Amino acid sequence: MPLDVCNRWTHLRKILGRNGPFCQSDYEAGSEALKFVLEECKILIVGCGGLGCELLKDLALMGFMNISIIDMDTIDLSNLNRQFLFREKDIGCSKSETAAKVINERIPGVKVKPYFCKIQDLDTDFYRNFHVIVLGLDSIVARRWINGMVCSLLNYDDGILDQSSIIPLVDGGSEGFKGNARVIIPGMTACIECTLDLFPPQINYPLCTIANTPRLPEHCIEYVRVLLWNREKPFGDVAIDGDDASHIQWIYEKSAERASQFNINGVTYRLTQGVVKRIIPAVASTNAIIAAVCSTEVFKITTSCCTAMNNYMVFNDVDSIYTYTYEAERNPNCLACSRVPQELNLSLESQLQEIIDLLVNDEKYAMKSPGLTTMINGKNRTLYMQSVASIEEKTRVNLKKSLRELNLSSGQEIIVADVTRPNTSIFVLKPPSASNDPQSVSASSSSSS
Amino acid sequence: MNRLGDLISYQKSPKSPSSPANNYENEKNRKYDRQLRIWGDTGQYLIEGSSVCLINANATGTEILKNLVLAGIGSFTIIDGSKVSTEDDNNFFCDPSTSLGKSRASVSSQMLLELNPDVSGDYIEESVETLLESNPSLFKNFTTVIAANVHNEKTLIKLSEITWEYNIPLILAYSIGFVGLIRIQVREHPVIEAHPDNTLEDLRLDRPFKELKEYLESFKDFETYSRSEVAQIPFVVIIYKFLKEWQKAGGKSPNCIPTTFKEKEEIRKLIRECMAKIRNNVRKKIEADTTEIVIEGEIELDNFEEAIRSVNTVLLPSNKIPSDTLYLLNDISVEKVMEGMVENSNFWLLVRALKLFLNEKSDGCLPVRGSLPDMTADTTNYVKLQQIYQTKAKEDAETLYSCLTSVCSSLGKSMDTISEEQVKTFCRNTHFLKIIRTSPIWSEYGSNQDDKISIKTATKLRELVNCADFDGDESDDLIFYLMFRSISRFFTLYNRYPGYCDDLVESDISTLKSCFKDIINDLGCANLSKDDFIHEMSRYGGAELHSISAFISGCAAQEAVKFITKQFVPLNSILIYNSMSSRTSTYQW
Repeated sequence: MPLDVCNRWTHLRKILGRNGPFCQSDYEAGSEALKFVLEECKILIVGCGGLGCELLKDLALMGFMNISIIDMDTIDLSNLNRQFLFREKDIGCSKSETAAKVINERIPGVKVKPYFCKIQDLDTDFYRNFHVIVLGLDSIVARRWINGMVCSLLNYDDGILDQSSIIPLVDGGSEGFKGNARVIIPGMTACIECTLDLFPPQINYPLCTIANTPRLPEHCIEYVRVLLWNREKPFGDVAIDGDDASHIQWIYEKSAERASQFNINGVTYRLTQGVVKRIIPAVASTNAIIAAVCSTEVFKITTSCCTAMNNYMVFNDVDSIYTYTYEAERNPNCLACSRVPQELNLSLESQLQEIIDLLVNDEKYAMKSPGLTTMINGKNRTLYMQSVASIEEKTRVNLKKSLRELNLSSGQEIIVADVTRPNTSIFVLKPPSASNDPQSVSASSSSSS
Repeated sequence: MNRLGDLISYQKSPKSPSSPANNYENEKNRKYDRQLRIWGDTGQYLIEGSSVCLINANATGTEILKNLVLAGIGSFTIIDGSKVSTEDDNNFFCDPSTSLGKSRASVSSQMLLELNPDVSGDYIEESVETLLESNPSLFKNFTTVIAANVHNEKTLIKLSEITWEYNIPLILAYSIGFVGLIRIQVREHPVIEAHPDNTLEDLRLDRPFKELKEYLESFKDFETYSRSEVAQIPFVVIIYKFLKEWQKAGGKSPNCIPTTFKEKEEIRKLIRECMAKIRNNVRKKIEADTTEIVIEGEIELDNFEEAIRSVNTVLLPSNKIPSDTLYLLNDISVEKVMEGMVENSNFWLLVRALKLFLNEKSDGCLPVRGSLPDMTADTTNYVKLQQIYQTKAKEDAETLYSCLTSVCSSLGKSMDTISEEQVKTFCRNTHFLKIIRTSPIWSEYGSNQDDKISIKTATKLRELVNCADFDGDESDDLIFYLMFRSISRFFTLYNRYPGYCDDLVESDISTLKSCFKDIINDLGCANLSKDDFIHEMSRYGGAELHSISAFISGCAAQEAVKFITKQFVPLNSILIYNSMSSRTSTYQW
């Protein structure tokens, strides 16, 4: 039986079609907002896992007919306890393609377009297309990359932000019974890069503990994973595949062996797999909750019926149900969204390695493997680059050279590329004597732009 | 009757490193891997044995069941007498474009079953009102009963009375417009495994047991150790040593611990002084030694740093019993359990045994938990220390088990229903025991009756409402409870939502206003006029926005999981979700 369009969306019609005392002051009730949602609004969902599946269902049932979804992963058995659009028969298939097919078949009129690829495979012109981008990711690097992308799309005219160039980001995250959701208006409110300290610190066991003084079962597993695997090469010259049961089995047995040598209890197969794959525990309900908060915010932003969240909510239901919503603050010198040129306050006697260390270790930047280039006498020169093996080999010698030896002087611009952002960032070399404020590592009073 | 009688009920044998991994790596374990890491095999076992009842397969209802079916509940039963209508287009598990006019219970149960072949499902194509009349005892068969957007007051009262009588957790979930509400009812729900987030360690440094004391005192003067040895002394040993020095210097008793900032600072100062001495000695040795290759750099004393940081969190009175545990020890059920007349009798027997343990078998401290945080130390010292705590924990569990045996034998009860493994779990968690007892939902409706519970509920509720600030930007979201109550009153009278039809919104506003007034009167609250909220609720016309339903459903499903697994602490007893200001509030009465 075909469904009369007039009979659809009765719930939405009431919410959007009637004025209320708590509507955003400039909201005009009527059919315009619903029309925009149904016909014009384009949403991008990044990630089609626990959060992504929920986001897709929520938004499609709320009238968003034009949705694109990106995910580079295929479906695994362990996804099925929460990624409800997938069945056992789908194992091994693309997540985004499977989810899109299910939603397109189930909800009349919706057009979900899947992208079975990496976020880096799509360019500025692609991302520019959307009214809102929603993130359902577990990777911090991917979040930072998308954040960098939407920040790079911002247009400034005479220093004034062009509002039409803003693409709001709605970001969700979950772990066990805890989660968070946030709204980012790039250039206006705190972005991912402004608040890197909100991410939980990564657990890294010191190498000397792993090698010499293991105490926990995790230390034994890390020993096998980090040291023994490459030494013994049990399956030839291959990297560890966390999804290969024989790999996990080998690591588990060796870890158990090492643990018993040291009288350490508690190495289990489950723990081994958890440590090797860095597994984050997950349940359906937390994902549903966080995705629901994100979807509500998308609805508020796109229809303007209510004020969007300002701007960060934490959720925890280990003990009762608890949420806390607060305004995360912008970093005025944020590398991604501030437009303040970044200064490197290192003396010319410093080695190039020290710049790399600063970019990696300073939590403001927290880069992964920065590549540095510069212009000398109008020519591009690669100072150091890790990502390409042949270039790495050629430029490695530079790491031990001082900045002066590399012919770098005060005011020199160093162009930095890293996996955490889609575009390069420009840093200006300002040795302490030449800087206005020798105490600060990055400038706050620079007038150039 | 004895729903929670078997508290931890089942423990799969723990897997030793030598056991073949194939046992673990079966398909079910792989499918549920991400959640098994949260509630373990015992939690999953209980989930797989549960049967959940859902009343109303609307968007809120089906989303709750979806979350539970994915988790692998044993079975569900949907009670819904309505037909699929065009309004179900906000419901993923009910497709009006293909199933218009069919039974909503049937259509949605079929779609939900597709999610997980491990789950069985059933439906009753009748309204809850009819069932409560014709077959009320049906409800005692469920592990948990969930009602989605049930508004009729008489139905709510009846449902609440039946589930209260059988002590079956009842979860009411509501989603209207931008607002949601959850109300939990459970007469008594004990929690042994609360999984608290931030816990203080149980290290007994003020009252070390014999083996711990011997170990702690086996260390010589720190300055006599070599450079590498001294950096590997566990921080608990360091704190203990300076606690003793501090006690000696101040002429204090051996159980005395620093309580003020000043006293704690005195201990930290002693530790710092010792660090300085050690550093100095190392420096001198390096200067004096010209023949050997000098190890560069200053000695790293992470363990001493850890000791300084931990003074605050580790030096606690070990015989202080947390208030929730104390509350349980003094609960009337501990006495009543001897008469065999209480619910959750296994839990209360354990608490009674704990009381015996505290009175006769320990120096006033709860059983040793047996856990040791990671710390800078060499393997030998760490493992040794860990074994000392673990051995003592095992002994304490055995002692508690013998207490339990004597409690049971004086009661003429057999011990069969409580395993040693359960006693161990109980002992690991005696610091975190919780009991949830909500007020009954029917008591919110009975302020005119003179039964004690209703009067108590009404008093508390009245107090909350009268003290709340309902004005300004930070207006108390408790107002939405009153709004939901008013909508229920409206629904009970007219069998529809206020504002349901476009042309009746205005007149419904004034009707809802009088319902609100009645509710305020019934509760005996001071006069309150909240026209803007009444207008807002009327304009929703009962609309269910899918994302609001999904939020409420996620929370409701999570609470059901807590009841089923007997792990984590449930909500007591009301949650209000205001998505306009992106916040939640909880209340208890």
